Amino acid sequence: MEKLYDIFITGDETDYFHYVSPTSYQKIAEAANYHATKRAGLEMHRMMKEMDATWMTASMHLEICEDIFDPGPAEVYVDPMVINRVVITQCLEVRREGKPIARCEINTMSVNAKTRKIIPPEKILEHYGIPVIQGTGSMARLVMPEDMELLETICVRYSDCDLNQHLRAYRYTDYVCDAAEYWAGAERKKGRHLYIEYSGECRAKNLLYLYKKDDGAGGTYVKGVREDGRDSFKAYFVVE
Amino acid sequence: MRYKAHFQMSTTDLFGCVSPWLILQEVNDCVGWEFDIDGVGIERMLEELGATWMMGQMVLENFAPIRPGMEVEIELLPRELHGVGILRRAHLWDGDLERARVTLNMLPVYFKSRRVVPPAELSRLWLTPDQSGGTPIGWEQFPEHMELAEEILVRRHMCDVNGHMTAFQYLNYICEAAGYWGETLHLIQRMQVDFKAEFMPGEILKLYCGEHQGIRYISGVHEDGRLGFRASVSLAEEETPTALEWIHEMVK
Repeated sequence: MEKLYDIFITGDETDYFHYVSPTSYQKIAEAANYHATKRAGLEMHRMMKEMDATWMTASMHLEICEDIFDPGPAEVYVDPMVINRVVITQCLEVRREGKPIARCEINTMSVNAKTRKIIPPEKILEHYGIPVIQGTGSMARLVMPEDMELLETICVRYSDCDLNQHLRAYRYTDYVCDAAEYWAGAERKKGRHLYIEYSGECRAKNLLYLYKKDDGAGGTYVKGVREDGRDSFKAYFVVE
Repeated sequence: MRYKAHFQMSTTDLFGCVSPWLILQEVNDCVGWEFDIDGVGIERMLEELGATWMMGQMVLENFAPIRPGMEVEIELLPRELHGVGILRRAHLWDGDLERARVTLNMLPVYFKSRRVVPPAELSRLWLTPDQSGGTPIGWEQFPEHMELAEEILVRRHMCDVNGHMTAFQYLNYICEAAGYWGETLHLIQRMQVDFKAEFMPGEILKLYCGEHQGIRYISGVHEDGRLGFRASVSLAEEETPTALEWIHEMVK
């Protein structure tokens, strides 16, 4: 892996228990992914202007290797980005003093900003003269149990939407953590793995129905369904 | 002192702008670093006084949009002591252009009792002298008639290490209630938030809204009627360019 840059995790990025939460790691991963993509020559504003294209997160696997309580410096390392079918995969590691504290596989799709149709990543890379490296496969698709229970309904807020005019990816992680009762109780739980797959975007004022089911072994399945009945996202969160 | 702000593309809003809460968070981080230098960082406060910092008041003026990729510098002026509060004023510069200004009134608070730490008690921790001068943030008059707009369940993902809903989260609710986001975006000419009583996880925040002479008033009230916060917001008349307009401008 190659070092991308140094970061500083501030106190404002820690959660209720003063730990770096899965959401904070996802923010770090998204920023690093954007930076690595830009460094490779794929500038989002040029893609938008020249190809009507934008990036959207398709899926992510986050592994929290070590609990981080103190704010402080960290380093971000990345592998070269590779193509896995319709997604560009970026694997990265967040390290503190050389030791991995989190690993993340983040898969992004290039999408037409207007029609929302997927643009094959090869087309984008070829347009910008970037060599294509084929990967060996991205995160496996999540299979949800059938008997999930409706937990709550969320109305998507403007403040939670991003440049793509839809609910930002890391906000789903907050919903998943809340649904899995990650922050519930007086004792902090240790998050270990978060798998999340985004399948249908939600826009401001849309309703999102959250369903959950515990697997009885520390894992929780959470899925979001839109008003039109289509899946919005699927997630599996494992705590110790 | 001056600090470089790092606004990432991945954190922009629908209009490709850096949101008010993010501006506040960045300034708050700078204030936190200077508190460390001044000897009153949270770790030392907790260790020696069993105290932490909480935001008492905040004023934001956003003169021009802040976009990711801009080389924004945060100039933090020396601290001012006003009563029990410490005032920190920040100017956000993009070259010679001032894009925003933030003033924070920070309160030292005992973590358990939630009572304000008297200045005399805090004075032994300071490693640097206070600056005098400047004027404190005033308290605003509110219209009598406010309407209930929304009830919000406070969740733990909205809360921080102080155990309460973060000031940044309030800002999102205030901005939404003030009509900051919508079909178009109008920058915040001036926003003042007075934080009164914290909201804890599981509580219901009742959001009330009113308007008087073009200024939007928003208050957050506890179920038992206690005032949690109140805010006044005035928005700029002109529309801010959309994300697409900004992107096209950038590529030119």
